[in-house]
This record gives sequence, C-alpha cells and structure tokens, in this order.
Amino acid sequence: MNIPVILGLLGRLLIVYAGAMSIPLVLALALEEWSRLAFLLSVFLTLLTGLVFARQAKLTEMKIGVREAFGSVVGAWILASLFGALPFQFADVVPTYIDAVFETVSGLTTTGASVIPDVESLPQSILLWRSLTHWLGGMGIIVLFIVLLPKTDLGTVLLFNAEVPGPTHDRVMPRIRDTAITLWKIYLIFTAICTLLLWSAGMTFLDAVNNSFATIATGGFSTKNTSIMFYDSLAIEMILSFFMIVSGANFVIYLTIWRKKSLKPFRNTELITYLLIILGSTLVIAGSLWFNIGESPLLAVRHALFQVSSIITTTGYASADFDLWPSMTKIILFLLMFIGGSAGSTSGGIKVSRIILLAKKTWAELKRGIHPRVISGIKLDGKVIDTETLNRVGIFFFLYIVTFAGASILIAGTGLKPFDAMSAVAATLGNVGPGFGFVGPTTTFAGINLFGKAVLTVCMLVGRLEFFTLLIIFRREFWRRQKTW
Amino acid sequence: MNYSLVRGIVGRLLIGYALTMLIPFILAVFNRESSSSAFLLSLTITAVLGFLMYRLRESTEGKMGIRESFVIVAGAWFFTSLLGALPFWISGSVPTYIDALFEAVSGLTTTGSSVIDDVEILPMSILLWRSITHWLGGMGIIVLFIILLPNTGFGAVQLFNAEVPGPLSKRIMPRIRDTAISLWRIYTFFTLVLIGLLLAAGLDLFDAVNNAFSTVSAGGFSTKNASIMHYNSLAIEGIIIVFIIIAGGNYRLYLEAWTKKSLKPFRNTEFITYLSIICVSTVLIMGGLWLTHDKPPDYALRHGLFQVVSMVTGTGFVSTDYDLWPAITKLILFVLMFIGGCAGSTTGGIKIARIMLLTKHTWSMLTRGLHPQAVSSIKLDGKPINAAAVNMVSLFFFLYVGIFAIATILVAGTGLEPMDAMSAVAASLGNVGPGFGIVGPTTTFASVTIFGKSVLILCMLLGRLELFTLLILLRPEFWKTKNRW
Repeated sequence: MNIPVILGLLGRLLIVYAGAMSIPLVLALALEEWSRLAFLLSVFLTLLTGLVFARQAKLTEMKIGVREAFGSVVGAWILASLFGALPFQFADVVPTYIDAVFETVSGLTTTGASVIPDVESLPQSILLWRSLTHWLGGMGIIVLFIVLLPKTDLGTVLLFNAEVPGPTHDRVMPRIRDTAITLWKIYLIFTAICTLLLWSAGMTFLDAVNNSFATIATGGFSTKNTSIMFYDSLAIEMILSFFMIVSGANFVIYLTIWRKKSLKPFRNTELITYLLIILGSTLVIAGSLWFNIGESPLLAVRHALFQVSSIITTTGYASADFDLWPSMTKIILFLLMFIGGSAGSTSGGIKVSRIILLAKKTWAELKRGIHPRVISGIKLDGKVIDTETLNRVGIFFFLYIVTFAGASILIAGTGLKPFDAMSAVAATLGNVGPGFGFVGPTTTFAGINLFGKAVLTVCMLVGRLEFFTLLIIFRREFWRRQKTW
Repeated sequence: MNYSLVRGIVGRLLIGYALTMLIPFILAVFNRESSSSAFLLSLTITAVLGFLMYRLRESTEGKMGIRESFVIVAGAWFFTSLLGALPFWISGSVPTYIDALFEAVSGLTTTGSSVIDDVEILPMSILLWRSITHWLGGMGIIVLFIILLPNTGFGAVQLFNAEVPGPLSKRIMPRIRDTAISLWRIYTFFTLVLIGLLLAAGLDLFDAVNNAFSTVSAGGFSTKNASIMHYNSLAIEGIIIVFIIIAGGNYRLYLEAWTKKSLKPFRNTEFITYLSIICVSTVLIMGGLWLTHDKPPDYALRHGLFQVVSMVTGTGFVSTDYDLWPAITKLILFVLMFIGGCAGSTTGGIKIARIMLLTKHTWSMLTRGLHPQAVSSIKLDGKPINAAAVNMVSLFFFLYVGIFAIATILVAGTGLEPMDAMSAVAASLGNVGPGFGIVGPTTTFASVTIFGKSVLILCMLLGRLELFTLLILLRPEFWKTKNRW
C-alpha cells in the first residue's frame, strides 16, 4: 500500500472539507453568533492538517490501486468524522468529544440520530453545519472530491465503487468524472426545488435550507426538537414525503432520464418494487391506525405515508410519535429500516435491489431442487447477474444480520431493553435515525453511555460504507507493502 | 408424480404411527384414565386411514423420484400432525382443534411450546403421548420408517436427505438403512442411559421417561407446569445439561466414534465451535447476572449454563424465570435461538455448520476484494465445500430471516408486543419452545389467537424441515405430472 498517495489524497480532501466548513462560519459571522470562534478554529485546524498531508504526494504522480482506493475511502470518512466533530466540540454543544463524533458521523452517514436533546437552543450556524454534513455525506464525500479535483483520473473508478452503495455499479457515462458531476448536478437541482417549496409552504428560509439538505440526503436532522411534528402542516409533510421517496430511488435513473430525455428508465424493477413496498406498508399501517387506535382514515394515511417514506428511505423524520402505535406497525417500520431504499440512492439499509436478487435466486434454487441439472441464470431488467455478484449479495445479507445481532447484544449490555437496543442498532446500521422506546422519535441518543455511542458510531460507518470497504482493511494482506504476485 | 407410490408409503407410515399410539392407550387402560377412549378412537382413525391409503394404491411399483420423496416427507409430517392432534382434542385437554394441532406439531417438531396452561392435571397417558411425539420427531419419522420397512429400497436416500437437517448430508455407511438403524440405536441408547440417571437422581419412572424423551430429542415438553424449575435439584439439572449438549451434537460423530471405537471424530470443527459458543455465552450471561442483578456466581453458572444449552439446542427447558434477567442476557438467548445446534442433530435453528460456512465464505470474499483474480475454495475439516452448497447456505440464511420477518409481522398483528412477537416466532421457527414476555418461560402459548397459532404451526414445520422441503412444493413445476425431458 502506498501511504503517501493516500495522505496526498486525504490532504486535498481536507482542504475541500475546510472550504465546506467556512459556509457555517460565514453564517456565524453574519449573524454574530458566539459559535463563530469554534468554526474559525475548526476551519483553521482542518486546513492546516490538509496542507500538511497534501504535501506528501503530487497529484500528477498519484497511482491509485485497489488498496489505495479502499484506504482512501476509509481514511476520508474517518478524517471527515473526526474533523467535522470539532465545531460541536469547540462550541460546547455536546458534553464529550465522543458525543461530537457521534453527531458528525450521524450527519455524514445521513443517519440523523442526535445526542443533543434541545436543538432549538443551538445557534443557526451549528444547525447549518449539521445539515451540511448530511448533504455532503448523502451523495458521498469521495464523489464530491472526484468532481472538484479534475486531475485524479487514475483510479477514480475504484474510489467511486468503494463508496457508492449498491450491489452492482453501472456507469452511465464513459468517464466516471462526468457521472459524478451529473449526479451532483441532479442532487443540487432537487435540493434547490425542495428548498423553494418548503420556503413557500411557510418555513423560514434557513429552516427550508436545513430541512431540504436533510431530506434530499435522506438524513433526518431537524431544526426542531419535535422534528416535523412541530410544523403540523399537511403541505410540508407532503413535500417532504415526495422528496424523501425521490431521494430513496436510484439516482442513475434520473441521470439516464437527464441524458436520454425519455421516461423509459422509470420502468425499472427496483424502482417499481420500492414504490410497491411503500404503498403496501402505508396501506397496512394506515389500516392498523384506523382500526386499532381509531384515527380518521385520512389522518391515518397521512401519518402512515410520512412515516413509511421516512423510514424506508432511512431519513428518520417523524410526523407522529410512532412509538405509541400498535405493535404490528412498529414491527413493519422496524423491518423497513432493514430494507432501505434503492441502490445508488442516498439512503442506507440493505437496499431493495439486494432483496430482489436474493428472492429471485431463492426461487431459482427451488427449481434446481426439482431439476438438479437445470442451469438458471438470474436476470434483473434483462441483464444477467453473474454468480460473483449474487454471492456478494448473499454474504452482504449475512454480514448485515450478524453485525446487527452482535451490536444489539453490546447495546443491550449498556442497559437498554431488548427491543430498544435492537431498534437503536437497526436505525444506526441502516442510517435511519430514531428507533423505538428509549431512542424513539421524541427522544435522543443522549441517554446511551459512551461505550454504546462508540458502538453505534461504528455501526453507522459500517452501514454507510456497506461492510466490504471497511472490513477489507482488517485483512492482513491489505497492509502488505508489496504485491505478492 | 406417482401418487400411488406416495399413498402406499404414507399409508404404511400411518399404520406404524397408529402402533405408537398404542403405548399411551395401554397406559390409559392400565391407569383407568378417562382418556383411554380418546386414544382408542384416535388410533382406530389413524390405522383405518393408513390402511385405506395403503389399499388404494394401484401398485408399489414405480420409481421414486425427487418429487415423490418431497411429497412423501411433507405428507408424512402433515398427516402425523393432523392425526397426532386427535388424542388431545378428543380427550378435551385443549379447547379447539387448532390448539390440539399446535400441541402435536410442537411435539413432533421438538419445539416444546405448549398451549396447555396446567399440564399437571392432565392424565398420564396424554403426558406420555406428548413426550412420544417429541421422541418420534426428534430423530425423524421418515428415518424411523426407513428402518421399519425394509423393502422401500431405492429412494430411501432421497427421503433421508429431504428430512434430515444439515447443509451437507453425508452417509457414513454404504447403505442408508444401516445408517438409519445405527442412528436410532444410539438415540435409544442415550434415552435409556438418561432414564437410568434421572431415576437415580430421584425422579419417579414416569417423569424420568418423559423428561428423557424430551431431553434427548431436544424437545422441551415437561410434565410439570414449572418445567425443570419444579424439581429445583442441581443433580437433575446437571444430568439434563449433559444430555442436552449431547443431543445438540452431530449424531454422525457418535456413529463414527461408535463404529471406529475412537474419540478422533470429536475433533470436528463444528462440534468444537458448538462447545465454544456454549462456553462464551455462558460466561457472558454469568457476567450479566452477576454484575447487574447481583446474583451469586454459583446461581449464575448453574442457571446461565442451563438456559444457554437449553436455547442453543432448541430444547426450551426452563430452570429459572429468565424473563426477569437483564436485557443483554435475553438478547444472547434470543440470538442463540437462531443459531441452533450442530447439523445432523435433533435440534432446530440455522445450525452451526451453516454459520461457519458463511463466515468462511465472507472471509474469502474479502480476499477476492483485494485480489480479484484469486481463486479461493472453502474447506471444512479438510474437505473442500463446493460453491453450490455454499450458495444454498446463504440462501437458506436469507430465507430463514425473511420468513422470521414476515411471520413476526403476522404474529404482532394478533396483538403481541414487538419483542414478544419476535421471540414467539424465533422460538417456533428454531423449534425452541418458550420465548419472552407473554410467551415466556412461566407462561404458555394459550393466549395467542387462533390465527397466530396457525402462523406459528407453519413456522415450526418450516423450521423442522429446513424450509426448502416445504417451499419447493410452491414451485409450479413441481406439480406438473410429466417430466419434460
């Protein structure tokens, strides 16, 4: 592994990151908030470290191999988390640095679980920084980096694949940088539209910006203690539902539409399945709310749709206290946390396309039970999926469940009740945000002890980088300097 | 499909089944219990039905194919469940037939969850019949049938494979019937030894026999309401712990040790992992009990070990009310329900061999992330495992978790709390027995609605036949009469 190359890359990334941090700094200066010193110090520290690292390697000499790609992506997320925590720490809005890191990782991984019980007392600049971490992490910090630094052509594919979620990576454009640029363009347009709509629906401009960052990135940090319940506005809930569902779908679809100027790409199996899951869950939950708690049918549908789209896209907004809902609806929401949105979206979880592939493979395997010599290929949207990919998906599922089980035991060890502990882990591993009970929609993660927070922080990162990228650095071969062949 | 052949074999099996009902009938007559007429009626119905099916066959000629073997196994379990429920229903021990069916399926699948709140008032014959269903189902009714009817000849291998759990069925002896006979011989031997030991520990003959049947089959029905708590005897718990651990090991190991007269077969990776899991879980639970509940170490060791082995093997005996234990210990027990014992044992669950294969597969997948061209094969005890088997294992895992998720929604819909519903399904699917909360160690499944019971019945059968044997019947190809080639 070539460490100077990785440091060079990470240094440049930190410089860009310091640039992002100056946005809340400017806001703090403009509003003359007391948090401006905290931001000034954080920007300075990040920039300084970035400059030191960047000197390790010149852009033109960089060759990025498999190991360097994995190393850089993991390093980028770790550094971005550590440095992004500085403003929270310096502004003293959290009790310990672990809390600050938790908040930042929760932001960058678009989880949206908070350790700050009273967010309404925070300065606007801090609120903006929380939303900004969502927005940067949503499309991926590495993807942003690919856009901003034109000369890193070598190995960008590897970097891209190591960060962007999903079982398969279909590039739409021949050059990865074009893909990355277009993805960010679409991302920007969605954010702009969402902001304008929220603004016109009655939010203040800053709230609209914050909430649209959190929505498009499927994050879930809110500027209010009671999340979207605060506004109690049908218009706002519908706008947010719509954009959450949009963000939970594969951005490659939008990209294809953008390029080909046709609506055909919407006829995508994963997208249709995703919408059907939302529809089915909404109807079942609305039915249960209507029959079991006696909400009026319209209100039941409104609440059910918002919560379902918030949980399946792993946003984590709440428009009602779903912790008080009947048991069955809780279990459905709990399962949606695992399913997650589409591959290539900003959402977390296992992803709908993986579930589709596994279900198809299982069905085909049953056929092989009857006709052992039959050869069955699995197709998705007409494309044959190779065995290697299917294997990876099977293993991914196994890893996801095992990590969930192991982390749940650890979290239960910190004193949470079994189901609360499971929901806390499912919500962080799936980058959702709130869970049930102790970590429910009206409470925060502040009550968990430091060990528990550390475990959940790892869960968020593991979930965002989809296991392989993080786990691979634990292999001994990874650290060998020379190739063995 | 050769229905004639299927009818002939299932018919003969039912006649054999009617004979086993004679045992509780004789006991009932001997004790002048009111249930004697119930048994007489049940065994007459079973025998007549079996005889009719057997006589209605056109010929016993014809080849047994894969499809016939699946239908025979599914049919055998279906009919033995339906008919095995008759004594409970006719004698009035349970309120509805679904309850009786639940009890019978719970017995045959060695689950051990009961719908009878007060078992101590039941006639002895009914108690014995519950334990007998455990004992028959433990080693497998089809396996028993292979022994009792020598002229089934060909096709026995397929029947064997469709019923005996495990990712890799391997025969030790050239003829399947010899394997089956030896397995039953060891099974009977263990049962007899256990009866002797329990008698020596102070149980009366009736309790010793019933508990031995329940233990060796990893079942869990007890003759007392408070399960093993009732005796509160260290000796009895110790004896049962040893035999539960034995029951959770792979019977092929005992068979090999028996035939080769050496202890070498015990140097088996799965067996060692199994014992390690028991040790680690016990230590963790002891720690949890000691630190958070101030239980003395001897209490923690005794009950921790008992509950761990009871859960991991899917027995479901209870030595103390673990529902009152801290959250972490409950979650460990919950996870153990999924893991289950060794392949080729009488236990339920996913099985340790599968978990090991998946872990190894994951590890080799990470190597391939670094060296995409690497060819890696997975070995277990020095033998390479082919890729198709590993794939089946990861699909099995997916199906297991998927079925668990769907069944949990349904059971939660009947009004159980989320954690209670999850534990009820996990306990049924893993053939464990009691779960937590409303279906906890000191309560029964009586309060679950009829719909919920039906779902759980299905879970027990799916879990016992390891999903594929039953799910394969859902493929449309399965029911086509002619092979297309």
